[in-house]
Amino acid sequence: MPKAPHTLSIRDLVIEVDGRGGTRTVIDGLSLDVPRASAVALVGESGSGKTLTALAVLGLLPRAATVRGGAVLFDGEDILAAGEERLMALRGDRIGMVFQEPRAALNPLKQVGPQIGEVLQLHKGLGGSLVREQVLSLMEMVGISDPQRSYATYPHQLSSGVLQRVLIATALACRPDLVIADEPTSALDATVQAQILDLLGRLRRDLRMSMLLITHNVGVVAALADSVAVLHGGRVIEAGDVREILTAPQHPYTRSLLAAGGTGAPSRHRAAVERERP
Amino acid sequence: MTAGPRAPLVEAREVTKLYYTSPGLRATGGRRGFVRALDRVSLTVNAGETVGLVGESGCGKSTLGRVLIRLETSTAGQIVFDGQDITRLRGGKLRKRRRDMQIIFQDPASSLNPRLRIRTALEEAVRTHRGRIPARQMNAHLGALLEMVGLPVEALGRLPREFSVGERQRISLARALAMEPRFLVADEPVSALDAASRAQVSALLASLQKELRLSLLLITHNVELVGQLSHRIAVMYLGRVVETAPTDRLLDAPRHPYTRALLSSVLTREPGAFRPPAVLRGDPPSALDPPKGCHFHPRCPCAEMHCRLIVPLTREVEPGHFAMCHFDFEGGVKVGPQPPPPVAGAGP
Repeated sequence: MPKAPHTLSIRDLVIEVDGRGGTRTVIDGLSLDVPRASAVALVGESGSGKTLTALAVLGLLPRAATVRGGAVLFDGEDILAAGEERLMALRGDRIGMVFQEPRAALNPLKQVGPQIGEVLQLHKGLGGSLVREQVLSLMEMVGISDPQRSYATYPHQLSSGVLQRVLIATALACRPDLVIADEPTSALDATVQAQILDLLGRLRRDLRMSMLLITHNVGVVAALADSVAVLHGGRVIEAGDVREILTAPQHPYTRSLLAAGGTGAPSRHRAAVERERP
Repeated sequence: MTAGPRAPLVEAREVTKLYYTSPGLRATGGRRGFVRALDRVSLTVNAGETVGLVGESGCGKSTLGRVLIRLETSTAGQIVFDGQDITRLRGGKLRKRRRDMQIIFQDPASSLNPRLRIRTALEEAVRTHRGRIPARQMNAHLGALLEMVGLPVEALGRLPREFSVGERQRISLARALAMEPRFLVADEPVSALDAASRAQVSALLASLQKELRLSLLLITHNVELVGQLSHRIAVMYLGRVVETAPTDRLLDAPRHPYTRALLSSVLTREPGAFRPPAVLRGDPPSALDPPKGCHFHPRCPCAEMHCRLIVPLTREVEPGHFAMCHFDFEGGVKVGPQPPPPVAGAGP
């Protein structure tokens, strides 16, 4: 298998979206590299095109969106040129996905164990008891207590925290080279969020996976990412090591983004808050 | 924070609220057919004081807020407002009392009628409170209300959809204040807002609370916000208030293991500083089938045998600082008092 220097390399990507107000160029010359075994955070405000970029990498763009230019290279292979069959072989096998709302990402009518097993059947051709065995060890790996009992439960019987663990198990089942995590903890409570971030960080390092992390939360970036790319006006306006970007941002937009984005940390400057009153 | 004795304005005394579950929910693990949304909860909000109520989704924060202003009737326990027992108040008497207590919700889009101009929405509130008043007086009053929340008088002629979410939240605040309430419940008041209007609306809440000497119950999952706005903080976990203390005490020296877990889960923006909350394990249990004994024991690193069986008493660990734990902690280290011996058949 050829080893490109980067797991993922996006070059001059241009995406247009048709809307009621005509066609809009949402992504306008975006370039981004995710080096091997490294986690890159793509940050920006809502509507900046973060998720659209992730969907382009997966070949899952909605019908209204069209790629007008550029290239998306996964392990040196141009995804934009790949056919649907090739994309299906890559998705879930070499590229894993974790979304914001685990409840929406899982099939409500299927028990979670067999649902994790589906990827193993599809991509690895495993069957029967072998699948069950692997699924149980995956469930253990992501910290689901009592996998035997949870195997046969339906999504509605489980809390969002456990469901996010199920989704992570599904994403990692085939040991992908790249995981795309789109706001992986935004729907979770504080204590569960911290536990899931810890889990994602450990698994990524242990399995030496590359990660494209999409978030608007500075705290999540600081917890998981090695480097950061700031998306504004359809392109990356600043990129670099996570320490540099968070402690000494150069671009004024990055500075204002960091100033506005809270982490949820307690502060008790009641007086300061009162002074801010417009 | 101002010193001096404060008189209690609103009190929940040992309040329990049960919701009966549908057969469908029962099948998912709630064997008992009800959810104990509030489990013998006591909480006081003093006159002119902001109390922050934090906890994770489904822990009963909103239910407590709604029970306090009698939007819901408690199953057991007492609600006292300004010395009057309002637990079972009904009809006209309840309506009269309600003027003193108002609530604003998370999503201002769904709490404003999209077809009513702002003038109509506010007038309705003012009339309910003061009866019919002359047009000129009404205009002056509406103008003053809008000024209070930082909106121009021209807003009166417009419809909710012409405003941003932050402005709509100001409008629902103005409508709540039209009643000149003494007690305001703000249920996740800024969670639906973007970062900039979040800061503005929280600043507005803080200054209005002070100016109008409101008693404010701030319900949120956002530790940052309660830290900024509250004089005191109460922490809830699965239907129980597990810790109450003045803001600085609670943030600096939390006593309950859950409070410590909650505070240590807060993310920092410092790269490489992220530490998983070491004190936590497992996932939150279902409110349909809460654990016996202390609700937190399955996730608690300090739990011992009797924590699984006996519901802890709420103790005053320091003046004004209450914790519902069998143990006491100093600097995070478990110390006495000696746990009571397990009693057969104890627990709920």
